[in-house]
Amino acid sequence: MVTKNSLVLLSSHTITSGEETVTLTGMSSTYNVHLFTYRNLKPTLDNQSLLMQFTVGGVTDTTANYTGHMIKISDSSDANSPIFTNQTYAKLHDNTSNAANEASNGNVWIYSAADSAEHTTASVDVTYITSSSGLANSVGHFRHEQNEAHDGVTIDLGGVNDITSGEFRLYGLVK
Amino acid sequence: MATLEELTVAAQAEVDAAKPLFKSVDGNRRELNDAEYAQKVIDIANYNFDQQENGYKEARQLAYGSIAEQLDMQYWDLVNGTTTWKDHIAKVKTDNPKPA
Repeated sequence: MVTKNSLVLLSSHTITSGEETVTLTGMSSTYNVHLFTYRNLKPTLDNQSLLMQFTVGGVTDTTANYTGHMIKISDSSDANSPIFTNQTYAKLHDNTSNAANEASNGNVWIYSAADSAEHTTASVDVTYITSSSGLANSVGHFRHEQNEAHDGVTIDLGGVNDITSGEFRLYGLVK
Repeated sequence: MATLEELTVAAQAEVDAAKPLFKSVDGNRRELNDAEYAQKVIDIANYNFDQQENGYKEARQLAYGSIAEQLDMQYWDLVNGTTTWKDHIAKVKTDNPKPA
């Protein structure tokens, strides 16, 4: 029996060989809230941006409707506030390192994903080691500004650039 | 500065040179199909265009340093009659130019 307010694993993936994108699906109206979590993410190339998109019917939604604000807190400068408006992706953070023992780890809570009458919104909390070995945290939120149901997430690094390691999981929070 | 069309041509060449590219959906790893290769080119061009147009803002924010460091520069500039802070800001702007 599934307990109310517990997390149910909908999809997961662990990278064993380089991949351009990782897509996890399974978000539905069975759940009010979804959680996407990842750990130990590394790119092939150093200093890459980590991008996220939603999917519609399992296909990545690349319409220019992602708008959000992220605050980057790091040990090398005061918090700064990158903003993206009507982009084809949500940028979770920049400066992803590919060095040993330097990885990106994070959680993204996703709201109203399966509601076709609402924007899908998300709150982001990511901790990572930058390509210059600094500790950084990227927190913020974004939404897809279109009344549309989404059934999954896609993670990408922007260019032709494999993700070489990472464990990815998508959960639903039982109503 | 490159146009979006020019960046699309460059992205196409980049993708062609890097083939095969792979993706995973719910744990199933496979090569991109033709439509996904075409979308990848568009995505890369859009990303590079955004970086070109807006990347300087984040680069400047990081390079300016903390407000505390800048206040310290301004204090010592006032005490010593130097222009360290102004020179620092000017260098950051020069090093990270706004697209024309």
